[in-house]
Parts: sequence; structure tokens; C-alpha cells
Amino acid sequence: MLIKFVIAVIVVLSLGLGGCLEKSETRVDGASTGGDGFAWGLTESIPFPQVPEDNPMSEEKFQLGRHLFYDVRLSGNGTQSCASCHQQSLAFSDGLALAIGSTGEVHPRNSQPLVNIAYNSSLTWANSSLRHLEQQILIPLFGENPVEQGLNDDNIEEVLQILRNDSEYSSLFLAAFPDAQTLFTVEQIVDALSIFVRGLISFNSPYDRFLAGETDAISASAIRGRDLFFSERLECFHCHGGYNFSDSTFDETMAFIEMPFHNTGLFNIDGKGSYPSDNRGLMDVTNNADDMGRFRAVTLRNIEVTAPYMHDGTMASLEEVLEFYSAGGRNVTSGPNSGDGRASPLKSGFVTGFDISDAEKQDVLSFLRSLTDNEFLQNPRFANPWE
Amino acid sequence: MLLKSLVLCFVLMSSRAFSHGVEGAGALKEGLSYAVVADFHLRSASQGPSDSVWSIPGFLMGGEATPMGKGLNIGEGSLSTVYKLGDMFTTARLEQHGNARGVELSNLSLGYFLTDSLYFELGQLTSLAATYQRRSPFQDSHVSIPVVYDVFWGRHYTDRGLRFVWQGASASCGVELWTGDRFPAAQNDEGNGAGDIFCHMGLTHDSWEFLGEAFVFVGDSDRRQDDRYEGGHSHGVQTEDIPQSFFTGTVEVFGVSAQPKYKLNQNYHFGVHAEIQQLQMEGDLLLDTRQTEIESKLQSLWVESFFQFDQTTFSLRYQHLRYKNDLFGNGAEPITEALGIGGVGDPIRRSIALRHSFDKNLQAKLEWQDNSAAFYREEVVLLGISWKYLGHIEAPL
Ligand code: HEC
Ligand code: HEC
Repeated sequence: MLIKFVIAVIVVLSLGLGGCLEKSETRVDGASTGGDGFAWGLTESIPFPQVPEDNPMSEEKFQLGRHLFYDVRLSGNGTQSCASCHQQSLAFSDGLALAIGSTGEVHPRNSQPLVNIAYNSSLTWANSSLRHLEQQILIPLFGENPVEQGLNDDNIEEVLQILRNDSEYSSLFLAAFPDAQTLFTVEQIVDALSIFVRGLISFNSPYDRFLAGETDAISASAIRGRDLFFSERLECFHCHGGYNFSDSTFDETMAFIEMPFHNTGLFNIDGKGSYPSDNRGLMDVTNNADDMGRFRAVTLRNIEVTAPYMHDGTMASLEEVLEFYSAGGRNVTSGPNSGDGRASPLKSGFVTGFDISDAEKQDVLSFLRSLTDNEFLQNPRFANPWE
Repeated sequence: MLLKSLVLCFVLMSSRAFSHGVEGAGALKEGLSYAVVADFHLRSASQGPSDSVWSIPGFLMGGEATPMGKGLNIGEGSLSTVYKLGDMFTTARLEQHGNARGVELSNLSLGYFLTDSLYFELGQLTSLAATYQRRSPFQDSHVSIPVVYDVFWGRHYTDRGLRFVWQGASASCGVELWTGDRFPAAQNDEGNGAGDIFCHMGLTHDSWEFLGEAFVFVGDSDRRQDDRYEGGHSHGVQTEDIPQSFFTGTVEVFGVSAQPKYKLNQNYHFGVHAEIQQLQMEGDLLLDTRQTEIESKLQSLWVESFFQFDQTTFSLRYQHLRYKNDLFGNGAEPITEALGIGGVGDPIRRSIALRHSFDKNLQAKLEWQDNSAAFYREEVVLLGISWKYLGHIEAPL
């Protein structure tokens, strides 16, 4: 009797084994676009960014966009191009505290570096509704508040005619939009500019080489600084984490978009955490009082060359920025904006201040400097084609 | 799969042989029975790196499968009680599991015998599906917990639920219905619960003894998380560093085991333990802003032979896990990497153990393991000691 059961069990056991797996394996079908074949210049470890379907990447559009980016003729008075405020050697920022438009109007904000913006969940310092470059680029071109490049309904035809008269543009537009009925449309200009700035990719800093295994690519001090940056004491990585050093990062591998904004305690004008009325961060867009002073944590790649810092350009150096985080906010002691940001009720829980020795400060600064990608700052592919 | 185990159950149940004390409520005595167990062991090395989450590459882990550290570990500290009065019974179990801080009421149930051989029980229960879910150090020849229970069951499946159990002379079968609030299931908002059916049998015939079991478990997961390191169980791991993933989908586990044993005479016994389990899961995996579809088939084989002379048992155990994970979609690559399910080949553990029982309440064990790379430590030596006390107070109290 028992023998029968034992046999039965052995049969079943071996049936189970019959479906036995060959060997362990994990198969991954990432469904990557492969970057649409565009020359992104990404390393293995970096995923491709997401690109809007109605404006796919192409080298021809990139080259057209590059010409337009550096062309002052693309402005109301022929004096300003994108590159006026976004200079390659400064990681496409301009070295000014606040940007100045073609007619001399001062922008309330600091010109942003254009570094890996293809990966930004949202664009500009604080705007949850600005997702795509194709929307954003209309602002410097046509914006009136303030006037930047100063294009408008009255002068656009004239400006387009100037471009049409340049034979180089005729071939560039034709190559970029071979199937278009009409060339030289505003939409084509915006699309090409978007593709160019989307292609401004920087992932080749000494720190990247260090991560890739080149152990002497960064100094011992920078390695210590990295550990501080990623520590619970300094908390930097909570907002400036990930491969792009920003928690507001979106790429091809992601299904959900996150657009975090943070109040870092720069201002506290009325004891309730208020920021200056012309620069209230996300609140200017949402009108929600909780969004007062909330800004996007920007990438820290190439941060060494993009001074002055913060949305209002009020911090001259990285030392000053570090002092500010160490104090847990900024105490503005005089003037109309005075108030103690350290005591702001709206400040993020990650900005609480910390003790840091001078040597440790130097370490953090060495680490931040190890994020400077010289190849990016000098890459002829991103340089002025008119020179 | 279901069919296979049903066939097995049928074959097993159609037998008429001699009883071999099948575990379960059927053997309860009137009054209050209680058991105290204290089990400790020393390990020559920790089960995983102390500063990161313990996981076996290739597998998504969870439940209570926390790693044991180097040095002294608490295997189990428990007080279990059963109080039976007439057809009613109630059970409670207080335990300190692994090195977790604090004692928890892990089981609490109320049961009723509908007939002499049929009862139901409801409350917080540990599944009867696979016997080793309720592993006691006295039942196991080894110090270490069988790998498959850590990986497939988060050590053991304990959940709120209801079960009906039929107990015959040499077999018992049951159905369990669960809220599905435990790994590998997860209830949250949309979870549809879990359930299993199982049959165990125990036979003796001349010098032969035979234990066999088969089960099928089906569970539904809504945003299942690996919460092993939460609530004071962080074991020195920075909880922010734990990649928090969510699994939503279905999990099925089936298993069969056979344990024939031959008694040469009163003092010399030989035996074998063979057990196969297979887990299949299908669903979506979410990590931060990423998502991927996942289909996994995981298999476990456990074969062991042992030789017992008087109070000492010598056993050789072979455990082998396999996985086949297929991930599709945007997030497939980064999620595979972040969760370490890319794997590094089959986890295989070969071990030798020696157990000595000083009396029926006290035993010591020595175990040596040789692990494949997937286990992080190649060779580990364990030394365990277990003590138990069983008591009974006549009813009524
Ligand atoms: C007058 C100086 C100025 C000019 C000219 C200018 N920008 Fe900017 N740019 C800025 C400022 C200031 C910001 C930040 C705006 C804000 O936060 O509201 C910015 C932000 C951006 C951003 C968002 C970056 C990010 O990280 O989200 C992009 C993209 C951009 N500019 C591209 C362009 C392009 C393309 C042109 C040419 C069509 C251009 N800019 C012309 C000053 C300028
Ligand atoms: C709570 C999130 C948060 C934490 C933590 C945080 N940052 Fe920032 N960081 C931001 C935001 C938001 C901005 C932009 C603020 C603004 O302009 O109002 C910023 C701006 C900066 C800038 C200036 C960027 C630029 O282009 O002007 C630097 C440099 C910087 N952070 C470095 C650090 C360092 C170093 C740490 C750790 C000591 C740190 N951050 C911690 C959110 C954070």
C-alpha cells in the first residue's frame, strides 16, 4: 500500500520538476526608443529623455536650432539672441544676477543654465504648467513681461523676412523640414530651437568618470565631499539627487511625472514666510498660498561656472550657498525684504541647518566642482556656428 | 498546476493506512495546553551586508524575512496556548521573531468542531498549507530557516482569515481564506484577498513512516511593499536607502513534499525530505516614477537525507532556487537594477547539520553551510540551542 503512495508522490514530484526552469534568468525588454537615433552622446548609465511625439529629434533640426539660438537677428531690435543670456562657457547662463532683455528691461529672475533640460520635469525656476520646451521658448521670443527678445505681431514678419533673405537659412530650413508646405514659420523656429536646447547634454564630468570606474578622476577631498553631500546631515541629495542632481527629473524609463518644488527659506518678509511680491515661486502660477517661495531644485551639474546663484541671483558664490544651507535659511537684515528665512514656517523640512567645519566645506565645494563638464563647456557641436 | 496537486491529494486520500499523528486541532486535549519555546543561535557571519537591505538577487522579498546577524541571534521566543472546552477552542501565540524588537501577538483564533473530524477556525492564523510555515526548531534538523520560506513566504504566511479543516485518521485537508494582508499578497485598497487548499497525510506501515503534503495558494496584491525594515526593524539600514517598490498583481504558489522514513530498529532511522515549490506572479511593479510589467516564475527544490541514531541526527540538505523574470516596458531596466532582480545565477545552498536531543525539551544543533554567490556569504557555521516546555491544565480552568 505505502509503496503505492510513495510512487504516486514521486510521480507528482517529478511532474513538478518536469516543468523545471532551464536556468535562472531575468529578461528585460525596456522598450527604449533608442533615443530616435539622435546623437545624444549619453553614456550607458543614463536613460534617454522623453521627447514630444510631434517634434521628434533630428540632426537637421538641431543644426537649424543652433543657428537660430546664436542669431541676434531673431529679436525685435536685432540686438539679442538666446545666447546673449545663455552662454556656452557659463554652461549657458549669463553671469548676471538678473537677466536683461533686448530693450533693457530687467527680468525678475536669474538666467538659468541650459544643462540637461531635456530631463526637467518642469521648466523655468518654478512653473508646474510649463512641461515642454515648445511652450517655454515662446516666452523669451515673444514675452512682454518682461520683454526679452522682443518679437511681437508687428515685427515678426519683418524678422522672418530677414531670415528668408539669408540663403544659408533656406537650406537649413529645407533640410530640417523637407515635407513642409511653407518654410520659415514661427512653429518651425520654435521646434528647431527646442531640439537644439534639448540636445545640450552634459554627463561627462570628472565625477561621471569616477562613477564609471576611473578612481582617480576626482580628488580625495571631492570623494569626502560626495559623502557629505549624500549624508543625512547635509540632506542635499533629497532635492538634488539622482543622475541629474535634481529631484525634478523625468526620463524615458518613467511612467509618472513628479514635479516637486521646495521653499528653502531664502525669505520671510512678514514672519509668515512671504517672498518678494514679484518672485513668489510656484505661487505665482498656482495662486495657492502653500506654494509661496517654492522653487524647483535645479541640477547642480556645472554649478561651478553658473554664478551668481538662486532664482534671484542673490548669492555670489558656492561658499555663500553652503553658508546659507548650513544656517538653515537666510536672514535678510535690512531693506524691504528683511526677515529671517531661517524661521520661515514654509521652509522645507530638509533645510534645517547643520554644523560644518571649514575643511568639510572645502570638501563639499571640491565635490560640486567635480561636476563641471569641460567637454560640454567647449564642445564645438554646441558652439556659435556663425563664428 | 491546480490539477497536479488535486491528483496528488486524491491519490493520497483514497488510502487507508495507519495514523501518524497528523498535526492540527484534532489532537487537542480538553483544558489549557501551552508551550514555551526559546531558541537561540550563533552565526559565524551575517546573512547579508549589515548596511543594506538583505535580498537574494533575482527575487522580490518581503514579509518577515529579515536577515540574521553575526553572533548571537534569537531564532524564536514564543508562548503558545490552546484552550479547548467542548467543541470550542481558542488559541493565542505571543512571539519574538528573529531579532525584531518587541513581542507580538502573532496568532489569536477561535475555533469550533462541527463534527469530530471537521472544524473551522477564524482569527489571526498562520497558514497550514505548508508545514514549515509553522516551523518549530524542534521539527527542523537545521538551525537555519529553509530558504524557500524566506523567499516565497516572507518566512511564514500569517494573516487574518478563516479555515475549514477536515481531519481523518491519516490525512487532513483544508481550505483557508485570507484577507490577503500579508506578503506575498497585499490588501491595501484593491486587494482581493488570498486563499489556499492543502492536504497533508501521515502513514506508518511496518518499519515505514511517510509524511506527504500538497497545497495551492493564490493571492492578490495591491501595491505590495517590502516592509521588512519598517517599524523598528531597520537593523541599522537607513530606511531612506531602501528602494520602495510596489507590486500589484497576482501570486500563485504550489508545493508538494514527501518525507519517507525507514526505521531499521528502535535506534536507527533513515529518511528523506523532498519538497518542491513553485511561485508564479504577474502584474505591475512600480518604483518611484517608474513602472514595469513583470512576470516571474520561481522554483525551489529542497532535498535532504538524514540518519538518526538514538538522540542524534545527521542530515545533508540541498536547496536550490531558480527564477525566470520577464520585465516589459519603460521602467524595466532601472527597476531591475534598483531592486536587484537581475540576479547572479541560481542560489544554491548545501548544508550539513548535526542535532542532538538531550531530552525531549532540550536540543543543540551544529550546522555548516556552503552557499553560492547569491547568498553573499559563501561559508557559514551555525550553532543553535533550543528549549521547550509543554504544559497542560485540566478543564475547566
Ligand atoms: C533676456 C535673457 C534671456 C534670453 C534672451 C533668453 N533667455 Fe532663456 N531664460 C532666461 C531666464 C531669466 C530664465 C528663467 C525664467 C524663469 O524662471 O521665469 C530662462 C530660462 C530658460 C529655460 C528653462 C531652463 C530650465 O532649466 O528650465 C530655457 C529652456 C531657456 N531659457 C531657453 C531659451 C531659449 C531657447 C532662448 C532663445 C529663444 C532664450 N532662453 C532666451 C533668460 C533669457
Ligand atoms: C529642500 C530641498 C533642497 C535641499 C535639501 C537642498 N537644496 Fe539646493 N536648491 C533647492 C532649490 C529649490 C533651489 C532653488 C532655490 C531658489 O532659487 O529659490 C536650490 C538651489 C541650489 C543651488 C543654486 C543653483 C543655481 O543654479 O542657482 C545650489 C548650488 C544648491 N542648491 C546646492 C545645494 C547643496 C550643496 C545642498 C546641501 C547642503 C542643497 N542644495 C540642499 C532645493 C534644495
